[in-house]
Amino acid sequence: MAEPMEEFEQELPGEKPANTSTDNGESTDQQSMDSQTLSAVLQFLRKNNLKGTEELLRKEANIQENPENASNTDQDVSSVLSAYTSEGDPLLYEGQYRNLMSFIGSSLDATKCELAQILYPVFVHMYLELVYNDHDNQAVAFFSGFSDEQESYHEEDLIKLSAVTKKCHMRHSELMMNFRTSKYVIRMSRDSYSALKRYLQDKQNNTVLNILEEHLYIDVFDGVPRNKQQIDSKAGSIVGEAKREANKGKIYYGLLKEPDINIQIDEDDEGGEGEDKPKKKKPKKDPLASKKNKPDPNAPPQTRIPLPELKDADKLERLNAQRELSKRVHLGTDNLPSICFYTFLNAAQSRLISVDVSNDSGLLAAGFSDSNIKVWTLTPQKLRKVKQAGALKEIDAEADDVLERIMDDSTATDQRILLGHSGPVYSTSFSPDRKFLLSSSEDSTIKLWSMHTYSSLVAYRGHNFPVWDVQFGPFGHYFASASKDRTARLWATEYHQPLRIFAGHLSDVETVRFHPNSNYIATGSSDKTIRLWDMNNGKCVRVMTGHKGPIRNIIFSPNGHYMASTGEDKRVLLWELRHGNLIRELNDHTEPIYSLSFCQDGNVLASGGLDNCVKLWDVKKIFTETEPDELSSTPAVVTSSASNVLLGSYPTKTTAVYNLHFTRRNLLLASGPFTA
Amino acid sequence: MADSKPQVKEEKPKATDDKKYAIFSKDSIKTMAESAGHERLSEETAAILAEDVCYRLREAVQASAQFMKHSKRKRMTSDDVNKALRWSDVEPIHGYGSNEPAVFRQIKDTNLYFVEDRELSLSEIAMDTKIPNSAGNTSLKANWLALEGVHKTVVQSSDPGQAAAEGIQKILGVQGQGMTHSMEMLSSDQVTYYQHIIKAILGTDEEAKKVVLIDLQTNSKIAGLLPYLVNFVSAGVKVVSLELYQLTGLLYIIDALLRNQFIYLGPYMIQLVSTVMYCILEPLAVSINPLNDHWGLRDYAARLLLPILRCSKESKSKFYHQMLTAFQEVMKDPARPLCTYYGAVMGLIALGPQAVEDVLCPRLSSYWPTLQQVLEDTSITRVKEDGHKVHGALLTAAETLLRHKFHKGEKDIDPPSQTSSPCDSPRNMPEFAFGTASYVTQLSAASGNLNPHLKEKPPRKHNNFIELYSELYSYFGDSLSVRLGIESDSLQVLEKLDKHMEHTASLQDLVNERVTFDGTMFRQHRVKNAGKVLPIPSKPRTSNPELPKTSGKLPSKSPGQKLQTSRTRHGKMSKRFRSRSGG
Repeated sequence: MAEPMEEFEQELPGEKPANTSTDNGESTDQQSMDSQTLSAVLQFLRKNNLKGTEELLRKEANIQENPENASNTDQDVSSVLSAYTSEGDPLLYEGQYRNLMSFIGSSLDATKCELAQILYPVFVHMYLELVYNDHDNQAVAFFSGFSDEQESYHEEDLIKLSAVTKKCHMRHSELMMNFRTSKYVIRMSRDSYSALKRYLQDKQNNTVLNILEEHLYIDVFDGVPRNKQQIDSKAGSIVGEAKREANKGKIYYGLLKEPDINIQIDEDDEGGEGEDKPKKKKPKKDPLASKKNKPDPNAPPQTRIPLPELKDADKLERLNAQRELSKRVHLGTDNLPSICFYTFLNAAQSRLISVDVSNDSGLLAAGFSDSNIKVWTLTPQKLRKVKQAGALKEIDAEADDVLERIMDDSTATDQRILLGHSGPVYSTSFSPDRKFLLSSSEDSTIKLWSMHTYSSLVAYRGHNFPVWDVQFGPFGHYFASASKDRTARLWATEYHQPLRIFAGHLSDVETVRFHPNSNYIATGSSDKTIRLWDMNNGKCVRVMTGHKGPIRNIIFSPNGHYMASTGEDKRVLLWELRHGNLIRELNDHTEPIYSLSFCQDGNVLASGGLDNCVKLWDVKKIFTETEPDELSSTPAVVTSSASNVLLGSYPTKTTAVYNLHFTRRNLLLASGPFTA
Repeated sequence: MADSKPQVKEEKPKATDDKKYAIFSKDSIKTMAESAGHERLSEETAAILAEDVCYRLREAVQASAQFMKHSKRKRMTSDDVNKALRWSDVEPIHGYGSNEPAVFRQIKDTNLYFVEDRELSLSEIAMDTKIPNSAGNTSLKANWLALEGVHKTVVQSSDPGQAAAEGIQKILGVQGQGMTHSMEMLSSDQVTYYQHIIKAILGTDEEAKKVVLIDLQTNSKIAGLLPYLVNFVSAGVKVVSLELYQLTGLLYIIDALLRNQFIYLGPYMIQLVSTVMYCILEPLAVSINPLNDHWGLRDYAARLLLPILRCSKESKSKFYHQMLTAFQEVMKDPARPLCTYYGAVMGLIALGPQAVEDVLCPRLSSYWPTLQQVLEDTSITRVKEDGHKVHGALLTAAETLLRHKFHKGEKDIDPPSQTSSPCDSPRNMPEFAFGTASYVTQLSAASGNLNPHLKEKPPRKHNNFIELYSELYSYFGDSLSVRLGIESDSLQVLEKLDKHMEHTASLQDLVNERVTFDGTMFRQHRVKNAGKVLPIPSKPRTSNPELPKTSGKLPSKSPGQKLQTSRTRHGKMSKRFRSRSGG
């Protein structure tokens, strides 16, 4: 297994950022995207006088120099703004927008909702056009006239938009650039589309027509027009919905086959237990038997992503984990978990930001805004350092308990402080074997810490902006990071450079999470979309829209089939990965949610955030309800009632919930800072 | 433009207060420019600058908000702004790094606000001997939020249960870390037991309360929990001051602990005394709501005083003195609220006639005008009602004292050889042994021997019963005689009859009849009720039907409770009465 991994990594460092890979996309859209990117690269090369490379790339990519490209060459990058040259009479804008509104208002009920989708992008583009052409007053009047007509979930973006009142502001506005550089995607049925086309041709509404042609992408589908609820559940992202094609590709959402653990652990156990072992193993595997016997058809090939080979110690660890798992409480409607709350006292001064609990629930790491990281032990087992080098020499390396002997008992303590960052620590993550800790900070570095010496081992520099989130892969070795620089990156602990850069989000990448089979990475962003990336080729394989605010946390169900996400919009959304459909919306929280956790069986989902409350949801019920629908690709009607799936709500005094973690035996550990 | 940037920050909090967008006028830009040394700024420049400042300010705030959200906070700090500035290549502004929000002050009668920026004298701070407490170390504390899906503090019933939960949380909050932390020393069984007790006491389930209290009285193994229980109660009364039933519940715990014969309360006495005194004297928050019968609570707390003294054998006199001093303090100060005064009187009654005589009588003359004023003031009915309560309490005190004196006088006269009253000897009253519920009775009886040395040197001795009576009569008038069962004109008769008590008994019956006819029914009735608790000295004590009934019962059915319920009934009656007279 080690060999393919080397190959895999060797081919990586030389590569360009991953999303430029020259894979012939299945869809035409993909192709046009690629050619656009390519031409951009060519332009860049030409500008910097890298003739040789340019020619090579041109030859390789089989691109002829076309006049369009040539004309673009002299232009500055900021000239993308100039698209708004369609000079119309500024006074007509208001009337035309009003006409459009009245047309939609008078259209058939069936198509009304679908048509109303275009109001927001048309509004934004009209406004930007007015601003760009220096019609300041008209722009302000237009904005104040129609901004109230927009859907409430666009409010945040509208506030940002309203700040842009001058042409010179446009260059710096992130939102504005997003609108300009990417097409706003709208999905509508053929009926609605033809109605819209007829209207635009009849009324000669040129401004709208222009915008529609230049800045909007209308994804037409055959079938019944969607209703308001369906549309709203998918709306909210900065640049509209995901294109249908974006979620077409097949993904392997199944779990990897558990490696056979056949080492002689029996010697480690007491005699009696050792004999029990084989018997014990069988019933334990029974619940997983179906997966075990016939490999999950949705699972990726075992070696699709090279994984580190398990050492004996790791196998032992896993066996212990499985044994623990087999002793777990099976949660459900009438068997709710106990919740143990770890409250941080006196954390207001140094401001706790992030909490992570190790997989075995033995360690807890907290990141603070004063750049500290503190590690606590949650078990009676103290935190000990490894002995000094001199003392280590004296230890017999062949001894059975060498791992125990290298520890220095005099250093035992309950808490350790890790110093090294120079900015708030936004995220920490323990490696699955709890030997390492990763931390990401505002100082744009990711640090790897040893849990044997409690010192910093590596600083991974690559992001140029604060790193919001970092996450160890389910098998260790790999980790992923999300940053303000709008990229997520994949790293391996032993390389100081990223293996993959996932670019595509239009705003900060807020959170990153590994699929349990370690083949995919999900990222959530301030652009209100979730993307699923294939680690193998760095491609975006799913785009999910529906959140109305920045996404703060994502989590995969233990079986890998589902995903839950949450964010500033105070809702938890449940997704199935097969088609990337939204299956349920859970709203009962009153403040932004920061933490999510699935219990070990995947039956119960816990969520918590700034509203000082832990809520438990019966997701098993939701999943069983949606299971039959899974075959059809049309999304079911998403209900958002909380009552029948909300299992419990557990308010704390004034302690926000920063982290939730189910132990292997399904005890829920929550943690957060107490604020007086 | 460079000049305008730092000012953007300074003005920021004002702008984001409640308006959606910050707007800078040309004038403010000009003012700022002037303060930065640019005297003449053209209108045009100012207008352009103003617009640009607005835009940049909004950009900065939006960027800062991002940092705030990532720190999982709802309040933006200057740190957030500085980070946002740093990442947009602007020099951060130093000197505003405090965790506390900037305080804005308004200039009087204007719409101008400014950041309060006082000058601090460094030398003063440096030389100051007072070293500020350093913030505690960040620590991690584990507690159960829910057990198998049941929220740890939620009691079944919805609203009062919530209150109970809040009560517990409040108390636990006050007890703080140290207390709950050391709970870990206890075994898990003990912790569960403790939690059950707390839940039951603060909850509304009467049955559970009863079971818990019986157990507290009889359980021989709760010694380990004592510090926590006592701590819980003493912290609790100061925190759960809004729910009457919870406060009463806490006092029930004390009562039950006092009755438990297996435990030694010695080290906790100070806490218990201060707790009970708190309930008696403090103007509790429950008093705010006139529907709450905090009077009953005070009565009940007062009745706990003597059992407490009895429990603390070695430091009895110390506590007795402490209590007397506390009551004396209240008596001295006419500015104390009526309920405090009431509590003090009830406390004195509970401590016995001796205490009443020593403390109350000398100060009655100075307090009387104050009370009279309250009673005559017709503007606020509530205060007047309170005044009546105090009046009633004083009356009871006077009655207790007189009865005691009378009794003593009788004994003194009857068997002249006997120097002390037979009541002084507890042997004479076996039915009032420890555990009897009718406290006031035993108090008035047993207090005589409580503090012999006080008796030796009282501030003022009323050896003559008639002298005392006439003094008290000057305050209370007929109502006193009503209480004692003496017609005012029958004073002379009484003088003659003081050896023939059966006549008093018949007079008592007469009086009782008269009371029912009385117009001021509510008050009189209450007084009569209170009188019932007091045994009529003329009657043989054993014939009092109250005593066997109440003795040996749970405190939940103690007279306090009874008194309470009967009072609330009267409260309703009086209300009805009032409404009828009003309509």
